[in-house]
Amino acid sequence: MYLFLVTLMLLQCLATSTIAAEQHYKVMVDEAYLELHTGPGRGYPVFHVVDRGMEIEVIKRRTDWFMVRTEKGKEGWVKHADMELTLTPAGE
Amino acid sequence: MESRFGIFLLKSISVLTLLGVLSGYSLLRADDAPYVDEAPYEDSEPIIKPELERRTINEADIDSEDFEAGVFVGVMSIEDFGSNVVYGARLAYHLTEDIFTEAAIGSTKADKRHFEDSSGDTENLSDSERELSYYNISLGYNILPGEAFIGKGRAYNSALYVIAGIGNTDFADDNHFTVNVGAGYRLLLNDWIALRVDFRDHIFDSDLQGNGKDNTTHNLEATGSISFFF
Repeated sequence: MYLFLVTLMLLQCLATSTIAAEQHYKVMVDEAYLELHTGPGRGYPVFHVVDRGMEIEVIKRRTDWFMVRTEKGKEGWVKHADMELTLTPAGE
Repeated sequence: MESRFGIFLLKSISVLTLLGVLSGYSLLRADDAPYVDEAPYEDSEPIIKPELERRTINEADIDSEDFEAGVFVGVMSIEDFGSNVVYGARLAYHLTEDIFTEAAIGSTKADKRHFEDSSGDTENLSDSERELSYYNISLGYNILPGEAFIGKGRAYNSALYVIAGIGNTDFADDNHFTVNVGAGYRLLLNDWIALRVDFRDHIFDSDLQGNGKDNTTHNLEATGSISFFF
């Protein structure tokens, strides 16, 4: 019985996370480059670099890492400290 | 004489009045007229742009996925009572990229003891007493994060973790304080679905060995699970 409840709870959580994912935050790279890791951790390798001035979408967050999507559709994880070096469209 | 003085007085008054009017007019002109040199620069951009300030993200707006929930199934060996299928559920919260906490519940059933089979003695545990259920809270640490390559073109994020915690085991109508230690492997199929293999030793004291004393028992468990981040 409790397994059924857990499954139900999981499905509900998944549904809410899908809805929440619709609204994405956009920022602009303000450093020379921004490194994208394959996973949310320093042990996961850098596979892509975004140049200064490029816009990225912030999809979600896990612990101190943000999953972002580039203009070309590449998805990767960026450290919290690196995300602080980006700008909103208003230049803030 | 008087008329001369009168004419002089009138002239003086008229000159003073004229001076007063002229000076007042010039003052008014000065107030109205803008500074001519400033006008061309009003609409032009500043020559030096101010340095743009860096900012932190408004983090409350970003969907965070620090929880991981899943169900597991596997085999659990209860010391002296054989091995049986175990199943349960887990809920983890990832504090950092390295550390996570986890709460788990599980359930299995004990077989007959070895000597019950051989000696033919009557069973001293009822069916309900053979039900084992446990719950625990543990702290895990991700070690060796990296990628697992499957085939030529596929790479999946993965991590080994070590985990330990405390909890309770309900077995043979008795509650046992239980310590669990173990290790596992997490393979992420995408950014929110993970497959896990987990090995755990549930350690508790039990007096079911037949010698009337409390003995520390090691109850090994191997499970596979699917979990979801949300």
